[in-house]
Formats: sequence, C-alpha cells, structure tokens
Amino acid sequence: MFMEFLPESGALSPDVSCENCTTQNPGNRKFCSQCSFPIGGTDDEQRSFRLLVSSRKRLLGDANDKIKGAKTAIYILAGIFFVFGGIAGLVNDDVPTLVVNLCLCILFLIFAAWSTKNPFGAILTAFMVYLTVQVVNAFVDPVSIFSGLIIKIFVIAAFIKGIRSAQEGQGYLKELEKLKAVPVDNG
Amino acid sequence: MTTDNSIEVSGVQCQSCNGTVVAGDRFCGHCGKEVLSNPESPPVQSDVIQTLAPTLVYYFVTLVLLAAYKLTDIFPPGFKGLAIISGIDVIFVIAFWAFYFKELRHLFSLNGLRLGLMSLTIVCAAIAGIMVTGLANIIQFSIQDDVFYSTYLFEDTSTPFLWAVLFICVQPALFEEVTFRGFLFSNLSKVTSAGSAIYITGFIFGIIHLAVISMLWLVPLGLIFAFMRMKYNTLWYGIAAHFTYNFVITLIDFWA
Repeated sequence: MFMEFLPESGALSPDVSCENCTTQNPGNRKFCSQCSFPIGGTDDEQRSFRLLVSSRKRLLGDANDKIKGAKTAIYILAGIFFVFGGIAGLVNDDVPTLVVNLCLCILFLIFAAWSTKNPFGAILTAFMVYLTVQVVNAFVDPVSIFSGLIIKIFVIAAFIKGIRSAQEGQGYLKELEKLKAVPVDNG
Repeated sequence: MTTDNSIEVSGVQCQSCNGTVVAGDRFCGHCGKEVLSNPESPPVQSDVIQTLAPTLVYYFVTLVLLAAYKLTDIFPPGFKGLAIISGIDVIFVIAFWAFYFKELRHLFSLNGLRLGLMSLTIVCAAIAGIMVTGLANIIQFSIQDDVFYSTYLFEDTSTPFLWAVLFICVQPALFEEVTFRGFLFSNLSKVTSAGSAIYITGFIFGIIHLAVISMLWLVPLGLIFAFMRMKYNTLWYGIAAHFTYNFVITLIDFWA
C-alpha cells in the first residue's frame, strides 16, 4: 500500500495549489484534501466537479427564490391584518378586533424579519400561526372560509414551498461549504 | 460530544481506499471520499413536510379541538365540558407519547437533576406568575383565558381548589411539556437545529392558547421552557416551572 504511491511521486514532488480553494496539497494527491477538487484528475473529472458546484448553486438560488416568495406572503399577510384591523377599528368601532389584528400584523412583521436569519423556523411558525387564524375564523364565522380563497391558496402554497426550500437550502449550503464553493465564507 | 475532526483522524487511513490521510484533511487525497470523524451514515434527506407530519397533525387536531371548546357551544358548559375536552386531549397526547416513548424516555431521567437549579426554577416561575398576574391586572385583561380553564368552572364541584389544581396545574404541566418540549421538539429536531426547534415550539405553545394578548408572556415562557429542555436534556425543570407558574396564578385567583 505504501509502495503504491511512492514511485509516481516520491517525497520530492512539489506541492500543488488547488485551483478551487487554493489549499497546498502534496504533489501525489489526486484530490484536494480540503475541498475534494480533483487536482490530479482529467479535464472531464475537473469539469464534472465544477458542474456539481454550479448545479448546487443553481438549486440554492431556486430555494432562495421560493424563500423570498414565502417572505413576500408574510409581508402581504401583515398588510392584510393591518388593513382589516384598521377597518374594524375605525369604521366599525370594534376595538378588540383592531387590537388582535394589529398584534397579528406585528407578529408577521417579526416573522418576516426573522426569515432573513432563519427561513425555516420563521416560515414554519408563520404557517402555523396562519393556520391558527384560519381555524379560529372558521369557527367564529364559517362563511369566512370561502372569502379570499384564492389568496389563501396562494399563501399556503407559498408557505409550503418556502418550508421545503428553506430546509433543502440548508443542505445545499452545507454541501457547497464542504466543497469550499461558497462566495461568502462564514468561518 | 463530537471531538474535533482533525484530531480523530490524525495519522489514519482513509476508510474507502486505505490511503494515508493527514490530520486536518477533510477529504482523502487519493480517492476524494470525505473523511468522516464518525463513520455513521449522513442524515437521509427526506421530504420535510412528511417528516413534520406528526407535528402538523398534532397541532391541527388540537387546534380544532380547542377552538371548538372555546368558540362554540358543542361542549357542555361548566365542569363537564372541561372534563371531556381535557380527557380527549390527554388521550391524544398519550397516543403520541407512546409513539415517541423511546425517544422521550431519557428526558424523564432523574439522573443529573440539580436541587439548587430546581429551587431556582421554581422561585423564578413563582415570581413570573405573580408578575404576569399583575401585568394582566394593569392592562385589564382576564388571565383566566390563557390557563385555558377559568377557576369558576370548578365552583360546582365538591372541592373546587383540588380540581382546579388537577386540571389547571398538574395536567397542563405534565402533558403540555410532554407535547411541546417532548415530541414536538423531538420531531422538529429531525429537520432543523435545536435553536430553531426552541423558537418554533415556543411560538406554537403561545398561539395554541388562542389568546392573542397572552402571547406577550406565553411565547417567552415557551421559549424558556424549551431552552431548559435543550440545555439540561430533561423535562423536569419545565414541568416544575410550568406547574409552579400555573399554581401561583390559580392561588391568586382563589384568594385575591
């Protein structure tokens, strides 16, 4: 086993710098020890490494788009609660509804802000709060299930896509970090 | 505890091709395979919504049940309705508990419990109970709603205080902890970090009480209970704190 690597390289072979992550590797290595880039591989092998990286980057980009979609849905809901509460309070003098809707509006603004830092947690929590509001509304006024049905379907779809993408995105990011292919290095 | 990657693999062979691997290598230079500090297989990527199905099902069913109790006349009034809904909830939680029994068992271990920390938890929970009751009085808000069962519901029983303690303090302290800090936390930990699991369980613990203003203190309480569950890997501090908090509120309600 030891002999296997000696003849082709020997201790004298100079270090090779990895073109993917600039790590210095002993000359007899076929792969970079830090990012697995095939430093001693054929052009095809190197190309397939770059393809893997770019496909992961594209998937991460797609995931981020869907996360953005869910974030937009959270902002829209915050807006809807604000308008709905405003109408209830100012037009119908219904202070409890005003307070509840303003609280929900603030809560969703918090979720939107939180989704930048932790998309998965924020979108999942927002989704569950939204479900809660819908169930409560359905009990208070059963007809309300059908009002704004298209918006509801859009919002739920955006949430579910966002939850999936947020979790998958974490995986892609980890994979890219492993391959040392993340533009921003967070140490 | 996982030890540092580089220390563990120092001077060993690659598990895939037996080539030499130097300390600090993350990949084998000969075959390109990842050098793993622990040979366990990496977590399987499964559909997140499918993995979270138990959480979503539990949450949705309980939500519908509680909303029906709070917002409609389906359940009989007074003690009877309360006993029925508590019974259904307890059976539902026990079913989930049984399903996650092995995963949750270590959370009930008495080993490593610290008496000092336990006393501190109980004192803090009592102070929190007094403070929240005070705050609720200031903003003219009935705190009755967020312990879910108002104490007047027990007036027609033989020993109101005893039943109130059972339904307001003992049952929630045990079953809500098993739910939120137990199996929901476990289930969420499969798809996300412990930090996210704390926030998510904290929030949904707050909202399922279906009282918007109460979220002001229920969410922080949920976050603290979840944090203690993660930090000390036990449910006992949460159960003790939850019991004390609800007990103080019930005490004040009966005698103030």
